[in-house]
Amino acid sequence: MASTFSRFECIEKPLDIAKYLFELESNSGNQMAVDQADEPVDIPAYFKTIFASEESVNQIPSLNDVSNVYDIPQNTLIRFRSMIQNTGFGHEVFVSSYEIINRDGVKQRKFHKYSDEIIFKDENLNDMLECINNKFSERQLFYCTSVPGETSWAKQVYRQQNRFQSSSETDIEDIVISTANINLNNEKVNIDLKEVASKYPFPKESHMAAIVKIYEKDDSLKVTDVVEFIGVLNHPRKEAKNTNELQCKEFNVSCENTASYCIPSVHVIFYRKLHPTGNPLISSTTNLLVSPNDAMHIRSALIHYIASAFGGDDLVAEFVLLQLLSRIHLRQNGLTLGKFVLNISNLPCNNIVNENTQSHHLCLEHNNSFAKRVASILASLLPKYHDLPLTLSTLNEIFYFPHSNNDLDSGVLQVSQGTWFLVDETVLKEGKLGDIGVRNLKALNDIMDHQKLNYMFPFNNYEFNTDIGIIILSNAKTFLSYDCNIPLIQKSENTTILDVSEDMLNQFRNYISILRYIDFNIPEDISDYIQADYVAQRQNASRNGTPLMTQQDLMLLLNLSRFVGLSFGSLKLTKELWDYTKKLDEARRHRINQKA
Amino acid sequence: MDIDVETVLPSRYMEKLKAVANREEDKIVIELDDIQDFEDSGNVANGLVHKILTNTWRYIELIYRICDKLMPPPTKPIGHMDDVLDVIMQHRKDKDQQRAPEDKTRFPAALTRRYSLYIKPLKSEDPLAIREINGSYVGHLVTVKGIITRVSDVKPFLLVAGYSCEMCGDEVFQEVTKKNYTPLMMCPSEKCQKNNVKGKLYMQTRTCKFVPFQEVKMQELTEQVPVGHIPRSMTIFLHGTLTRSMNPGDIVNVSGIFQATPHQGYRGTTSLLTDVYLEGQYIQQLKKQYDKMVMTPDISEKIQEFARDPDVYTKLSKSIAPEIFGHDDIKKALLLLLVGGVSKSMGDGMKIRGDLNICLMGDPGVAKSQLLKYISKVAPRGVYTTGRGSSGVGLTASVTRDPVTDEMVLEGGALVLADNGICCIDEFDKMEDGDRTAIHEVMEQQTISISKAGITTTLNARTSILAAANPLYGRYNTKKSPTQNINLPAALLSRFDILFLILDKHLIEDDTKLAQHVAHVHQYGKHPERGNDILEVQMIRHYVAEARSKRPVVPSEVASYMVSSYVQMRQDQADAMARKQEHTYTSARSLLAVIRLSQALARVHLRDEVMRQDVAEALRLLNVSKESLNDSDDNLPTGRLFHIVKNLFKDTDSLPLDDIKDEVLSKGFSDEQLMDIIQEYSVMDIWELDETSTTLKLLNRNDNEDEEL
Repeated sequence: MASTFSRFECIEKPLDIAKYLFELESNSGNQMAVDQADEPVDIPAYFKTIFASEESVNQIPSLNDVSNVYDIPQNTLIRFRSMIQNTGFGHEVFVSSYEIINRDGVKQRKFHKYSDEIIFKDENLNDMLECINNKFSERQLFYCTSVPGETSWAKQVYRQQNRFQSSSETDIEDIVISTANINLNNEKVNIDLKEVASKYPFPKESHMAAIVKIYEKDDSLKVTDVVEFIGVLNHPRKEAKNTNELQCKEFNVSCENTASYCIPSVHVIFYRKLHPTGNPLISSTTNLLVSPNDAMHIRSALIHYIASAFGGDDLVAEFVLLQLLSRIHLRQNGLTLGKFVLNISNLPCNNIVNENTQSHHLCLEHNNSFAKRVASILASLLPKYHDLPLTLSTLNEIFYFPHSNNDLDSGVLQVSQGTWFLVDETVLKEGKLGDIGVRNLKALNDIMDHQKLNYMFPFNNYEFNTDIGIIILSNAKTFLSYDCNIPLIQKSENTTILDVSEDMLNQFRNYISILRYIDFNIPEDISDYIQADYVAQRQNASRNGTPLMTQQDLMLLLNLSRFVGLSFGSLKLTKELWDYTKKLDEARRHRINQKA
Repeated sequence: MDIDVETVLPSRYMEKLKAVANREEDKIVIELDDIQDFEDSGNVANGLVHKILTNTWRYIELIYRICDKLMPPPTKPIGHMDDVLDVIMQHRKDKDQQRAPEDKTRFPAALTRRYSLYIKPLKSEDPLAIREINGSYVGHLVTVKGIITRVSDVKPFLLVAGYSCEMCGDEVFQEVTKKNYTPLMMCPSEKCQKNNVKGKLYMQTRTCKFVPFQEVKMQELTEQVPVGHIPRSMTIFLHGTLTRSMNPGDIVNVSGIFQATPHQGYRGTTSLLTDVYLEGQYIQQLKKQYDKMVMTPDISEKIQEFARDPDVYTKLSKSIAPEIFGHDDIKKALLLLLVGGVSKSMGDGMKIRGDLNICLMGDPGVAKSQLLKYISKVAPRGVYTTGRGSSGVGLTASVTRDPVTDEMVLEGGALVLADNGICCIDEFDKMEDGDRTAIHEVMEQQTISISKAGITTTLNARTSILAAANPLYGRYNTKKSPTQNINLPAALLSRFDILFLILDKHLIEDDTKLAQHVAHVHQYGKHPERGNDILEVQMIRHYVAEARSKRPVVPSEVASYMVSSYVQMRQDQADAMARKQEHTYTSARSLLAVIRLSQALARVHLRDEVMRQDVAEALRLLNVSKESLNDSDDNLPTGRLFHIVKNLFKDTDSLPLDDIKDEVLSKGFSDEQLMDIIQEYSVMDIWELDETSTTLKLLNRNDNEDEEL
C-alpha cells in the first residue's frame, strides 16, 4: 500500500492520504485494532519514508518563502522553519476519529486528524447527527514565528535549495523585501494582528507566524529552539473576524483562539531540529572540520575583510573574529564558560545619518554610519544577526524581554541560540529612563553577565538560558557589563567595505559556523604552563608595583586562548597559542593604557 | 436510601444540616476522608470514594438529593431579621406543601435549596501541576497547585430562571445547567393549555435564583515548569461561597472537577474542539512565605543525614560560591549570614535583631561582587542592588501609580522586598551619604518609616545586609591606616557584625592554587574536586530553610563564657587603643554580634542549644575579620620583614647589608626575600642601597615615622 502514492500526491493532498491509510486499516475488519490503538497506522513513519532524503524534503513548499499564506492552498503539506516562541498553550482536546451510521445503517469510522475543520463531503446532515463513538485525543500547541534575525543571505540560500518553487512564480528579490503575511505597514492592520505582531521579538518587522499543533508527546522541544516542522497547512479563519468578534476578547477567551483566527496553523506530521549554527550552507554531509592550513588562510582574509569596516584596524578586527567564534560551551552549577562580550570603544563621534527621519526612531535599525558598516559586515557573515541601537526611546518603549500579562508577548532578546546583536551605545543620549527602560537594561546586563534571560510573568519570573553574541560599540568605555574592552584606532578614513566574492563569503561563513562548534581541549602540560606563567606574572607585577593580574584577567585570557586556538583551526591549546593570546591581550592593554 | 441516618452520618453533618435549615450556614462540605473512614469500616461496598473521585459531578447531584431528603425542619421560626429571599422561600415551601401531590409543577430543587455543597478531597491526595492534567482526567476530582494570576469580577450566575405567564399569571421555573440556555417562550401550565391560549412568558428577575460566580486564572509555579518551557495556565470556575476566596499572587491548591465543554467558537459555531476548565470545589491557601519550601521526605532525610556529619559547617561553607577560589573564612561568615541568628521580640514591643549584617571591603577584582550575587541568588528572598544605582528611596520604598488599576501603590524598594531575606548592596561606598543614613534604621530597628504622598507607615524590613565597598582610593593603600582606607562613618560600621578586608595580595602558594583552579575549570569544564562534593544550590536552600526553623537558646554556662570573652575583648581593645593600633570599636553591639554568630552556628548544626565551641568559632571569625584590618601589612612576609629591618634602624640611618642579612636569616627569611623588599621599598624612596650594594641607607626618616602614625 505504501507505494501507491507519489511524492507529489503527498504534498498536494496529505489529508486524503492519511485518511486513506486510516480507513484502509479500520475498515478491513480489523475493528479491534482501531478500538484499542489510538492510531492504527503510523502516518508520520509513512511520510518520513517518502521524504527520507534532503532533496525530497526540499520539494515541499516552505511557508518561509511565500509572501502570502494564501498562495499555498489549504491542506497542502508544507514546511515551516521557525523558532518556538511559546509552549505555554497546553493541550487541545480534539476528536481524532468518529463513527458515522449512514442511512443504510452501515457504520463507518472517519478519520479526523491533522485538520481544524469538519469536512462532511459525502454525508448529509442526517448522517452527521449520528456521529457516535467519538474518539478523543490531545495535541500540543506551540506558537512559532519565523526565525528572528535571519540574515538575507541565509534566507536566500534556503530559498535556492527549494526546488519546488519555480523561478517564474515570484521574483526572489521581492520576497526578500517582504517575506510575510503580517505586513505591518498596511494601514488595515487590525488589533488582532497587532497582538500577533507583539509575539515577534522585533517590533514592526514583517514575519510569518503560525500555531503549530504537534500530535506526538514530546518534551524535547523548548522555547527559542529552531525547528523545521513538516505538516498540513490550515489557513487562518480570517472571514470570521469582521463581525463583532473584537468584543469577544473577554476574560475567558483563551489566547490560542484569538491567534488562530488571524494566523495559519500547521498540523505537524513530523519535524526535524536544524543544526544549531543556523547556517544553511552546513548540512549533514558537510565536513565539520577546517584544516589548520585552510584556517590560517581564511583567517587572515577574514580579518582583512572585517578590518575594512573598522578603518583598517586589524587588532579590533581580530578581536571581533574571536568574538564571533565564542559560544557557551559549558553551563554547570552556575558556571558559564565561553561567554565573551566585546566592547569596542573610542568610536568616532557624530556620524549619525538621517537624523531628521524621526518617524523611524522606534525601529531597531542603526542610523549611525559607522555602526551600519559594521552591521553589514556582521550580517554578511552570520546566519542570524540583528541591530540594537541603544537610544532612549527604544529603551523606554520596546520590550527587550518576553513578558506576559495574560499571554506571552515577545521581547527583542527572545531569539534563538547563536543570534548576534550589535549594540550601538554611541546613539544614547542623556535622559530619563522609565520603568521599561530600567528593566530592559537589566535584561541586557543579565545576558551579558550570565547569558540568562528572565521572562516576566505575573508574580513569577522564569529564567531561560541563552547564547547570544553581543558586540558593543561605544565612544568611551561602555556602561554595560562586558568581558573585554578594546579601543579602536582607525588607520584610514576609508569608509568603503572590501568587496569580497560570494564564494569567499561562503568560505568565511562556513569557517565561523564550523569552528564555533568544535570541541577544544586544554592539555595537562599547557595547564601547568599557564599556572606557572600566572604566578610568575603576579610576582613580577608585585615587584614592580604594577597592578596585579586578577582571577578575572586569567579567566579572560583562558577564554581568549580558546577562541584563538579555534581561529587557527587547532583542536587543543599549545604553548605557542597561549603566548600568541598573551601578546594579543598585551596589545589590547597597551591601547587601553595609552588612552588613559 | 434506607440508611440509618443517626449511625451513619457523623453527627457533625447532621449539625451542619440543622444549621443550614436554620439559615445559619449556607454551605456543606463533604469530606472524602470521612467517606473513606466509613468505607474502611465496612459499611458500604468498596470503591465508593473512587467512584466519587472519578465521576464527581454525578455524585454531587446525588448527595444534594440526599441532603434535601435529610434536611430537618427549621427549629427557628422565620423572622424579620432574615433575608427577604428566605422569607419568599418559606412562602414557596408552604405553598408547595398545600399543593396536591399529583400536581407536577413543583419548584425545582435548586430553587428552594439555600446551600451549596462541596466535596473536600482526600488529605492524602497530592496536588498536580497543570501540565500533568490531560484528557483522561475529565470528570475527575483533581487537585492542582499553582499561582493565581488573574481573577474576574464576581458576577451573578443564573441558576434557576423564573418566568410569569401574561395570561394565567402562573410562575414557571427553568433550571439552567449550562453556560448558554434558551429562555422559555410559552407557558406550559395546565390553565393555558386548557384555555388553548399561548401565554407569553416574561422573565422575572426577582424570582430567579442567582449564585455568585467568578472566573480565576491559575498559572504553574516556577518549579513545576521543565527547563526551557513556558508556564501553562488554567481557568477555574468558582460558584457560591468559594468566590472571592483567592487573590492574584496567592499560591493555592485548588481541588475541582476537571470539565470539558464543547468549544464555543466565534459566531456561536461549535467545532470538534473542547474547552477545559476546573469547577472549583475546595481551596487550600498555601503559605505565602517564600522560605516555606516544599520539603519532600527524600530531601528531609538527606538534610538529617547531612546534619549528623561533624564537618557540615565546613562542607556547607565550601559549597558557597564554589567558582570563587579561597576566602574560606568569608564564606563561613556568609553561610552564617544565610542562616542568621534568632530574632526576639520583647513583650514591650522591642525587638532584638537576629539577622547578621556583613560588610566586605577590598580591592577591585577580588570577587566581592560575585560573592554578593551568589548570596542574592541562594537566599529565598535575595535582592541585589548597587549603591551607585539606588537612592535612599530605591532602597527603602516609594509610592507609584499602578499602570493597570491607576491606584497609588506603596512599592517597597530593595530593602522591603528583601524582608525576611538578604539585601546585597554592592559599591556601598559610592552611595550618597543621605541615602546611606536611611539604611541605619533598617540595620538596627529592621523597619522603614515613610511618610510620603499622604501615606505614613512603617514597613517591616527584617533583612540582613551584605554590603561590599571599595577602599577610599580605589585600591587599599597599605601606607594609610585602615580607618583612612575604609572611609565609612563609625555609626554605620558598628552596625555591621563583621567587617572583612579582602586584599589582593601576592602570595606564591595562593596564586598557584588559584591558577590551578581556574585552569582546571577551563580544562575540564568543572570545578576541581576538593575533598568533598559541593552541594547544589537547591540543597543549600533546603538546608538553610531547615536550619532557620531552629531557635537555639544560650545555656547559662555558655553565657558566662560569652561574658568573660566580651570583657576580655574590651580589655584587649583598651590595650590596643593605648598602642594606637585599634581601628574598630568594641561595643555592646559586638557582644550581640557574638551571640548572633554563635546562634547561627548552632543552627547550622541543627542544634537547639548554643555550645561553647560555637562561641569559640564566633570569636575566631570576629578575630579573623579584625586581623584582616589590623595587620593588613604585617601579615605579609614582606611586611613582617620590613618591620624587622626597620627596627634595626632604631638609632642609625645606615647599616651594612651583611648585618641585616644575618638578622633576617635568623628570623627565618631567605636572601631573596630580603633583596625583594629592599628593591620594593627603594622604589618608594624609603631607603637606598649604595653603589657597592653593601650598605643600606634610610631616607626621610621623619616623614616615614609620621606616616606610620
